[in-house]
Amino acid sequence: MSSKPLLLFHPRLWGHENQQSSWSVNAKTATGLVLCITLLSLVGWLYLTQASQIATIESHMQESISDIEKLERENALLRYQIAQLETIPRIQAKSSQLGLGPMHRKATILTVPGDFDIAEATPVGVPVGSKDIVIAAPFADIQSSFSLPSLLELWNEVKVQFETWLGK
Amino acid sequence: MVGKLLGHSSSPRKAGEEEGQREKPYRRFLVIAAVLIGFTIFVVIQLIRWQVFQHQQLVSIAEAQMMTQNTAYIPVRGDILDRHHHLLAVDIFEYSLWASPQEVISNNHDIGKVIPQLAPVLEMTTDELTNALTSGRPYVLVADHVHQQIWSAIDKNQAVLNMTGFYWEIKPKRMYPEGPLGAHILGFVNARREGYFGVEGFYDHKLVGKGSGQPTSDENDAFTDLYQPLDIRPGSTLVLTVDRTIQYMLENELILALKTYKAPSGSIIVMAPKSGAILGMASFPTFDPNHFMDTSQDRFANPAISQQYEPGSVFKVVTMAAGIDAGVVTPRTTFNDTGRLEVGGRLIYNWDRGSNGMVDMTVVLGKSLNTGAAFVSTTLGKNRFYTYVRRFGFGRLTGVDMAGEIPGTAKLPGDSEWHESDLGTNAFGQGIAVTPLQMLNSVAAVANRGQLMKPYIVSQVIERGQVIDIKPEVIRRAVSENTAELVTAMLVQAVENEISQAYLPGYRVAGKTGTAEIPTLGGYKSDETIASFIGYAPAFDPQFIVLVKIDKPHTSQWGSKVAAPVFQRIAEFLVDYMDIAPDTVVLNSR
Repeated sequence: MSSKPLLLFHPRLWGHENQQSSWSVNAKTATGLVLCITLLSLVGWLYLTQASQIATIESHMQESISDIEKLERENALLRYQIAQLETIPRIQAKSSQLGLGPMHRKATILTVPGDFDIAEATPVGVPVGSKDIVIAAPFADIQSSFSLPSLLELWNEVKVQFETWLGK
Repeated sequence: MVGKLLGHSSSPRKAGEEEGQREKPYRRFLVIAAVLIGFTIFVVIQLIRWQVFQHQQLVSIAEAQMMTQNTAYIPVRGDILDRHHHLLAVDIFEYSLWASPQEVISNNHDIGKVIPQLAPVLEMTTDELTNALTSGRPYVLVADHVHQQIWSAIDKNQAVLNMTGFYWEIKPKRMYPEGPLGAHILGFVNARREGYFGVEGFYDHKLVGKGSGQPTSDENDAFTDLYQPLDIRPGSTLVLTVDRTIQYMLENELILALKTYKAPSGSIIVMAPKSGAILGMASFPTFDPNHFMDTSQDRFANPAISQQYEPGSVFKVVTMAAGIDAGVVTPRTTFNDTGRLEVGGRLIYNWDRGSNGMVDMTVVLGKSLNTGAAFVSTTLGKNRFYTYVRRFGFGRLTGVDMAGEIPGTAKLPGDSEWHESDLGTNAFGQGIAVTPLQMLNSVAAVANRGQLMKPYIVSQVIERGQVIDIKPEVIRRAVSENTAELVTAMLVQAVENEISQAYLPGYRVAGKTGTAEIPTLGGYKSDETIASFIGYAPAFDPQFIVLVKIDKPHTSQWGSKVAAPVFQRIAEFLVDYMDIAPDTVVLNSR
């Protein structure tokens, strides 16, 4: 039976005197090992740093996307609320609170250029080629039934609008 | 340096130092071991620091990140805008709060503190929240339809409230800021995010977007929906031809008319005859698409496209246009009106049972003589008359881009239900069923110099920033340009001479009234009518055409008394609103 121990915590010399102990490491190997460890540590550190940075950036991106979505949702709600505030019944109610009333019909003022021959004029759109229509269409009646408002009438109209605005 | 530290020197070794030299490799080993042990210790310390001392802090950060990553996995439905880009339909968001009770309890050592903090924010009682969290189920729905503002309040205070074990589900919800305005045009979106009726129904495929999953109402399956498709695209935005101000005015005028004439229902449509663009379309009774669940289902269909009626005398416009276009009559063709005319064994009378003697076609249209209209259709003959009926689009869909359109009923010679007498009665709008839009579109063809346009309500589709314009589409030429102008002139005279209620000072209005009887089994109701008016202005350069249809008015049954005044008020508004100059202003020197 051999008396060789299973585990040694101190180098022992076996057989020949010059034989190196099993724990001993020559200088070259030791330098190589240290360099390897250093190099591996460096690579590991670089890898981990980059992975960490990527994870951080991704997390920030997720946060940004989440923020964008949150803002889009808030924006949709705001647009809805603005549209509710812009409804015609609400505008009508608000304007009546401010003393504004419905507008009367627009007055159209005819301004005929000096060299325009009204006698020779015809309303646009009349199918000139058809005698039936020219005879049938009561243009004269229409023209006579539409009278322009006088300046006094226009002034009165402005006064009415102004008084309505003042709330009288 | 490293070499020195490890005893790797280039200096010559001295004799007698063998023992020392033997010890050097052992020192090297110690150095390497020390480096490795040091490194291991550093890693272990760091792990202990993270796992033990910073555990709670890091877990909170991780959970906070998880809680903020609630993404809406259902694509947002596209907006619907009016022609001036006022918002008519939009998706807002509501939230459902789910919880894993086991997770909540295991992560909250003091659950008794969380519940009183969370319950008031969720507008729940502490008992309700406690019951939800102690139900014993793996996942429970704590709160549904949570408003965005409540969600925001909770989201901002996540750290304080400790929301571990709670999960938000974000769901878009369709809202209509104008309420019932244009409800029949818009339609609605149901709980399964499917569009029904109107534009929502017709353009559902465009509005719905991509990447949509079918959300489930089964709470046990809720978390299967947490899977988020990679490619979620929002739906397209639709820009309508509808002007919300015109729509609002139409709805107000319709309600006012129904009150004034004590009528239960009605429709008004305003269209641009040159393009077929629908500017407004109001029908009553209506509903609020925001609360469609609380509304009777029979209100959802748009009566303007989904209900048919016998149009009555407004159909004489089609009959007269057909007669003139075929060359069988002219505006000056005379006809001896004896007050009755037999067609296919059936006697046709005028609306007042009176006779007018020798009259020309302009008078026939102006006085709305049934006998005169039957004279035109019989002179045309059944083949030519029904060819024109089909050419004007009756008995087939107009093709308007709204869901639920029906084609109406136009019996044709050869059909089992068609009778010889139909040739006479159809001429004045009896025995033929049309939709209000069909009727309006056929008269619009006359206004548009004989071209029948396809009515449309969506003018633009905006898809991922790209604007797609929808152009007006000509269906076919119904009558010649000359015929259309002649009929327009006759209709102008009809308004000038017979329908003063529709007269608009300064503008030539072309129009025709209709008083249609309502069919019942084996006959017509004696006391109820459908009063209608179709008119357009300015007659020879029409900017709008309006149909007013009032069902079963009680104060008067005549179209001239009930529908024409409504048209007048609408036309008065439109010429102002659309800045249409009076005919007397639009002058052209010869």
